[in-house]
Amino acid sequence: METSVDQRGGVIAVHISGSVDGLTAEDLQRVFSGEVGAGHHDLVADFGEVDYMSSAGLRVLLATLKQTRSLGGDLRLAGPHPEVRKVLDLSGFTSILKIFDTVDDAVASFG
Amino acid sequence: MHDEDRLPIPPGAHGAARPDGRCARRDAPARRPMSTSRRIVRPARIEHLPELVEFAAQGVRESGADAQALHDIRLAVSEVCANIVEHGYAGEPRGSIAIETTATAGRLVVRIEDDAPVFDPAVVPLPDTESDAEHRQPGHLGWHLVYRVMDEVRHEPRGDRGNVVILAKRIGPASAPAPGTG
Repeated sequence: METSVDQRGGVIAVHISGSVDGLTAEDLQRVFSGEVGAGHHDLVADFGEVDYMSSAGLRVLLATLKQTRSLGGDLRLAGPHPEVRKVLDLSGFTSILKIFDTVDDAVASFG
Repeated sequence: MHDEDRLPIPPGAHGAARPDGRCARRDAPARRPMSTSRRIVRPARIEHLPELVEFAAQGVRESGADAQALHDIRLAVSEVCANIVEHGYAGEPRGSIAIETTATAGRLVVRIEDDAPVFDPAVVPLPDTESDAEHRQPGHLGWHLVYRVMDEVRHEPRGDRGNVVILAKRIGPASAPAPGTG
């Protein structure tokens, strides 16, 4: 898994590629926590290049979702492949996480 | 350096896959169905997870399965192996994981073996998938996903210690192309 970050106004987009699983989820958590620790509470996770995500990734998303919302922000998802979207659906995450087709849409949703 | 013989396959343990007969015609009893099996053994450490998952994925690709089947099997193998490392051996330094994939026309079977204490995943509670975000608890999602994405999940103890998890999934005939997808 690789990540890169760019800032778009007050929103941080975290671009993720590869697999978010038991080996890599901790690294992703560190990226999210680093951004939140730096005062960035509106985050977009760009899943356009994520080929699969396991429960370890779901735990990171949930922890970050709770953390950002407790600070008045949010974590929103952009561009997950249908296979990854199915995992989100099977896990009940589509009811608690806002998901957009593109990063631009997700960033714009913060208004 | 890997000990390929560390986790021998017990006799008769192939029963779950039932690789025979899926495509066999009733009027051709002597015909042996085409199937391919591959096996890998690696130390049960989290850094070997990508290699174990990729090994299973290769079996899926060679079978000509579609993207959904590829994803689901990668996910299931990842979940089972991560559980073995984190909870099965629970930090024991010398455990191993063996994976064997068997592909026949229309079906892929993945056997995952360990030497960890016996653990039946059927006892894992259902996860919380309905609470609002603030109250949502993250546990038990792994096995939930394994059961949901595979057609068959079976656990067999290997005597007093050790487990075999058998995962099976139908794999489409080169997959019907979905509209708007490559």
